[in-house]
Amino acid sequence: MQERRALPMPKINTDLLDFVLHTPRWYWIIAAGLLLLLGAAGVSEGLIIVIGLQLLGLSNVQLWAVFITNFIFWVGISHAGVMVSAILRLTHAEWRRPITRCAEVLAIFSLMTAGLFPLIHTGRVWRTIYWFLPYDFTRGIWPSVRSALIWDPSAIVTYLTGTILFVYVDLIPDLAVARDRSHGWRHALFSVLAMGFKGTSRQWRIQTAAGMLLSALILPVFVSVHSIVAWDLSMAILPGWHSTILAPYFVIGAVHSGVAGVVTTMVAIRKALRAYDYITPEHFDTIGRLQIVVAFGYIFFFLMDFYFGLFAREPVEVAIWELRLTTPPINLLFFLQVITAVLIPLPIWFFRRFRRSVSAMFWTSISVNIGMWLERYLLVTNPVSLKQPFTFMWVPVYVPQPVEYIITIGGLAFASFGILTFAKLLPIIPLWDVKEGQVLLQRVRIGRVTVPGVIRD
Amino acid sequence: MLALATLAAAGVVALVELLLGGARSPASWGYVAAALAFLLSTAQAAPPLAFASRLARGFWGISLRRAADLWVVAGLVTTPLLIVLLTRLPDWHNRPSIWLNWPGAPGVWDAVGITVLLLAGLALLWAGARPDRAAARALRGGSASAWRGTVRAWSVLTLGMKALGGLYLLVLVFVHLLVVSDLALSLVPGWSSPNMPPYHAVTALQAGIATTLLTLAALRYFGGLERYIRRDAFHAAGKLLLSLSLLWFYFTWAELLTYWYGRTPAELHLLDLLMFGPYLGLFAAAALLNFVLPFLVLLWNRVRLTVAGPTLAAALVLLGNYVDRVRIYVAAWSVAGPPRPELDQVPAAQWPGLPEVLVLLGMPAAALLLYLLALRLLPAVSLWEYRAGALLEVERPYLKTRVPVIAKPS
Repeated sequence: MQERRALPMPKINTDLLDFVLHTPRWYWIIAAGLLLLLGAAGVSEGLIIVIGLQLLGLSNVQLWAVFITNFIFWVGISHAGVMVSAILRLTHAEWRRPITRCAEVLAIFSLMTAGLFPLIHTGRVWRTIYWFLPYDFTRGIWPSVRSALIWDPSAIVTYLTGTILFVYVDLIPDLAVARDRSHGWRHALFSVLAMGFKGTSRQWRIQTAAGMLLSALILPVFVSVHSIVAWDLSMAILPGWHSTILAPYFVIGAVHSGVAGVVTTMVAIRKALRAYDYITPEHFDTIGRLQIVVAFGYIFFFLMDFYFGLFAREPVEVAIWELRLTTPPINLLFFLQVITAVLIPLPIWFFRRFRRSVSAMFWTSISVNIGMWLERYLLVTNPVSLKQPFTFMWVPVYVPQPVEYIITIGGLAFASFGILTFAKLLPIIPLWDVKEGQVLLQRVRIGRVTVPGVIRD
Repeated sequence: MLALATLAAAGVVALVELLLGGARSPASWGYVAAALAFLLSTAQAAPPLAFASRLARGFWGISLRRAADLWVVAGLVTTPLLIVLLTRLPDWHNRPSIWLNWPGAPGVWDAVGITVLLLAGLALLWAGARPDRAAARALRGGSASAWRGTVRAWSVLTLGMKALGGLYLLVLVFVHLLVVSDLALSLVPGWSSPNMPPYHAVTALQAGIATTLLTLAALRYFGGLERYIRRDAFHAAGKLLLSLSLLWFYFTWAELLTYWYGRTPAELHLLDLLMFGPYLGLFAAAALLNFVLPFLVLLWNRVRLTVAGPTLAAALVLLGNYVDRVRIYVAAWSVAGPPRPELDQVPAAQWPGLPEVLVLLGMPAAALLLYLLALRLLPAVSLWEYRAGALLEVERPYLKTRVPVIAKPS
């Protein structure tokens, strides 16, 4: 990943601050479209509050469905953002420079989107205060600390705080540049946010050390958050859920889906900001290689989940796989999941030509996330539908209802609007990181050829 | 070498004695399985580190690649050992297993799996050594080698090394799945943990890095290779060892927590058998040696930058891996019998007798002996990769200092 063009420093400032300081017409059109979708989701949520949960496809046993699927899916997407950024920083991967921030911003807004879904899922949103406040002070009825309602918000808020801090520390030098190039309210805002950064050697040392330290600290947090989400399910004695592999399987699935999310965001940012000199085919090539490795890890865990579901030949575990493999329409969704998450994208990524094609990478990344959403959906809905089969004689098949579709699309609109707004207000491609990469870039002559090289610190 | 040969011979004699009816209980074979799993997790798991550094074009890995690849010779010990163990398995009919009554399973297919691993490893070593053997032959003035070093030969070699390395890694993970599921999970009633194969593979990669680090340290101190095996290899491998030590904790925690919260009688018996019952001491020692102590040692960048720090952590991990494998396999073989739906009682700890101790010491000694013999045939540092690396590193003036510049041809 050393094929970068040499770019003059003033051009980097101009190119990467252009979208922050000037607003093109398309921005308003896209923002309006996203706000329209968000409004529709808001109306749907309002209907749920006013009319009740009967608007959803839930039933006597199917109490967790699309909203919990969305929660798990978006938590998963948020993971690779931080993982890509933190691991690439710690390993000093040169190619990381233009893409780390869009990965981190994706993590922040995905996590915020994820956080909305458990609230929507409850129906009576206002009653969520009892998740952390006592239901009755006088009688001392406190929420159980063993409840997922305590674990999840604690983990997610910790992760969100850490991720925001991670992004903010990295942003400070760019905020200083934006401060020096802006006027009016933007200047005032950037002045406050830049916290007096002037680029002294001491400030750079602290900023670099803080970035590395946060990279190392955020990684265990990211693993723990999705593991906790997985343990919400695996602690229940339900077939398909009560499995020792669920936490690592969730994490590898999150990385698979999240790296694809990063690719989708990279393509969108590249196109929107016309950052063709910064996010190049080489970046897609390298992240495509990473996707191959992650996909193999995902396949391994998927096969373990499948094999060990049948290993002990317990009837209820076998019933889950029968449902997924032989019962329409669930089996169709299952095959669609396998095809879109692995069978289509993986062979494509093996070819360098396709890895360097922006459109091929975009569509394969979309395909992966369709598959991963379906995987979460089947994982959540199937085992719940088999819960207590002898207790309920009548168990209707779960079918998502229109409000569930609208709110799901609203979640996508929320995350997209968040990223777009961030990119409008703040530089989403890190100026200082790109400039540092330019400084470290060297050419080395070996025999008759000149090859790219980098200064090793 | 004489001491190693004696120990290896004693191990083989002890194994033969166990085969000829000297096994006191099935748990004796648990110790043999532990020796097999240890070698599979340490020596045979070393080459993936070389593969990773080749794939990532990591400059730091140049000096460790051959030292790691040479450990494939341990397959000459593990392959017959697994075949012997497969003959000692209890009746497989209707036993929970990944094979689901597949014909010939598990014996034939497990043997095929480990043989493919051995062959893939030897092919990797042979391919990687071709330029060095050609150079050695030219130095000795011998007949012309089949390998000439043309542009095409070099590109085939570099591509082939990556392909063989990838194949080796895939087969290694598959063999770990076979070994842990057939020699441990299938023997314990009610133990169908899908977490165990990835746990086994990940902890094997951890121990494989530890093996490479210890080998590098030995080659530096006893082989006079300080100039060639640089500190950056220890620093980079130390970072990987740190992250894999964290993963040891993660996978163990995932196993423990799920059973702990499940609390069905079968799960409580499993926890008792594997963690908190007769093998509590081994479990605690494994946690200390695989996670707590390496974590505390490698947490500090200053320590990682030394040779002694990562070497110490590697020694702890190696010992911890052996303790862990004994915990898993002896516990599993101690309850091996006819298939039952779940574990109803946990037997007392099965301590090793003299034959078991000799097998535990003799098999690693045999692998080490083979490694030392292989070192007589091939240089411990890959000459061609070292020379290629030397071409890629230059020093340049930068502001008021001089800095190393690493070239990375695409």
